Amino acid sequence: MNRSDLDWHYIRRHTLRPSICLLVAALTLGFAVWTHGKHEQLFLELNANHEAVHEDYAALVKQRKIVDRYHRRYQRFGELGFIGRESRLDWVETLRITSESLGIPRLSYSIEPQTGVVAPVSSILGGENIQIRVSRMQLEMGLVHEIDLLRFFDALQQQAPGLIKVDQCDLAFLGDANVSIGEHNLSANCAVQIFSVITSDVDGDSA
Amino acid sequence: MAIRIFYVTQGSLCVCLHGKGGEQSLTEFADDDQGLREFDAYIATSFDLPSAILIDVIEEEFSLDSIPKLGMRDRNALIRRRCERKFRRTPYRTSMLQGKSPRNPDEFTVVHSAISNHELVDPWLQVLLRYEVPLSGVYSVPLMVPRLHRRLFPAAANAMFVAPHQANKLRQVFLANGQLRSARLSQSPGVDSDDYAQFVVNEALRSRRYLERNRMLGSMDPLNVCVIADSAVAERITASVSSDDVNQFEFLDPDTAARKLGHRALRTADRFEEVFLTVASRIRPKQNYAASGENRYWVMQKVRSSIVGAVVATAATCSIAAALMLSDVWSMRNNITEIQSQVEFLSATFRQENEKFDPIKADSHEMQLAVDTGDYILSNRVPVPWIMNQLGAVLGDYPDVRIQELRWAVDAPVDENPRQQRRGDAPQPVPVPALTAVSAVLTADIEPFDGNMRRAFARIDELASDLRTRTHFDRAIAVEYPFDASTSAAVSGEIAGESRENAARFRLRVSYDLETDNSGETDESI
Repeated sequence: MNRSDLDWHYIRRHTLRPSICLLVAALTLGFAVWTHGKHEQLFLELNANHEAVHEDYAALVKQRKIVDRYHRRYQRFGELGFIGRESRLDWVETLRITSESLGIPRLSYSIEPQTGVVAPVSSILGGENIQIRVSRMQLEMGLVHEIDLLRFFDALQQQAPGLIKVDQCDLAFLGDANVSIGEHNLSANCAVQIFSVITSDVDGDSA
Repeated sequence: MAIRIFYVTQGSLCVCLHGKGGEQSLTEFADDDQGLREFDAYIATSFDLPSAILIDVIEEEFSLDSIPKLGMRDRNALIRRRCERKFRRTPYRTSMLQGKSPRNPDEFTVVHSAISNHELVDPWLQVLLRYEVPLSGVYSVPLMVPRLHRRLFPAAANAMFVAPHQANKLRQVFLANGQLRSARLSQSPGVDSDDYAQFVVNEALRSRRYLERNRMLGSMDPLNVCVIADSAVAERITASVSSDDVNQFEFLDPDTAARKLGHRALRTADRFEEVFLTVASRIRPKQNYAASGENRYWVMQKVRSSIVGAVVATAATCSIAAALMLSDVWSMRNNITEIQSQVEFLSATFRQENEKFDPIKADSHEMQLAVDTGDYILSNRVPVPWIMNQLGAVLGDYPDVRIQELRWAVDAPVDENPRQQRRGDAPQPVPVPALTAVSAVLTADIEPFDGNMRRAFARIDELASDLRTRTHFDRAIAVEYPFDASTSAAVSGEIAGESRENAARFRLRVSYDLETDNSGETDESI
């Protein structure tokens, strides 16, 4: 018996059902492969998205903790005028009102141009948008009593916008012979620095 | 799997069906027209069963031949040609190469065998081929004997296997060195007959003479006659053997032999062919008379089975792979759903949290930097009231000391590498140095002054001492007394007279080192 003796009609008999089974199985496998690929791609995309959202959320939680810790004081600094643009007009007005209310006989001021300040503290996580500014101011006053100096700076810190730092003060007491009623009996010459910080909350220019 | 054996004898065909348990069911068809019709009808109902033909007829011939040493292809062609020449009239022929010839080592011994009367098989085979019955082969009893003999009797150079067949026939097969050389099937009396023992002895002698005549056995060569017979028959045969008989008889009980070969039990002791049927159903014999394509449907069915098996295996593999993948898809879908819900939850929480932040545009790090900067400035400034209070607390106890001038300043480290500012450049940012110390210079008069310098000096030292002990200033020194009492200085003054000074002026320097005392009392909380 050789190969030509094979009757393929005979051999093909009873192979229809297994062939259909194979076809169905192959189609099922094809469908499974297609579905698997589709779901795998979707899974990978979603997983990447999930990781990104998770990272964002973790960053948000961290940010939230920082905000919770600093928010109240940030607002307080904002109320003080430390956070915001320095307003020369407000300063001059405050000086005038304070000197009038305290009855300071003589007050003169000179404010230098505002300059940038090297941030005295560092932040690992950024904060590059922040700008710290300082203006140097020289005050010359004639005072009736030294307690007026304390009241003056107290009122200044409360009413004037910004954070002030008094670096130097020279007080000179005038002799009794030169004093008359309503005139000052001591003079003060003080060097003051006015600090302000500009953050993202501060926008636009103001006087 | 059940296999069907067609047992062809001189006058009939017996169908023997073997099931899994080894049980047999027999149906017999006579070798006449009626029997053929019945066989045709029978086959029509069960043509698809795997089958085989086992021939057990008298007309089976054997021929011993020698061929020269040749290559395999030439040797096979020569064997085939000689077999065709010897048995030209029948298609049912085969040849067995049995190794080197004992007489001439350059030659090979070949035994050709054939069913010389093909008309005994043809009618049955035509029916089988018409119905395309898958026939694994056309076998014969003598061709199967060498294998069976090895399992039943000890090896011998020359052996004659003798067994009762078909109730009234005696099958004799001659084996030389365990290989088939010749066979006979002869009519015999029944096993229970008184003549049976003598018949066996006589037939053995006749066969020996035939073998000697054909030079298959030497006259002095011993011949082991291995007889399948029970003990009673064996005794009778032994009794019938004459003392000058050169044949040596060995006996094996039919049931014992059947069991050894895997057959449960013989129906009757005179039908040992049942054992051959069982063996043929279990082991496909090597030698086969189906040399002309009689087994083509069996081969094609095997091919078909292989194809179907491969298809089913592939389908099963595909199904398993598909099931695994779909299971993985199911798992992924669950994960996807879980991830989606987590993403939605996180996104919603993220949105809500962001909405809470909405009024504040500054991010947390700006906020932190602004607050920390504010704190730094606050902690590095000296409130004006603090200095005034520190000094006032002591000076209140000194009504004779009149302050003329007070100068105070905060000390900070000097920037050792200041940046060079060029004209036209944008102003460089300035640092906010950390506060290291607070110092003040106090210029005052002791008034009224009675001119007692010693007392004035003591008063000044007392004030300095009080400032050191009662304030935070850790240093308080008089840098200038009412007059310079050192011997290296020139001194002048008026002790009495109108121009005598009414006040003694002095100068004190106080300082507070913040680097050594970080009590934080200078800090001003907001």
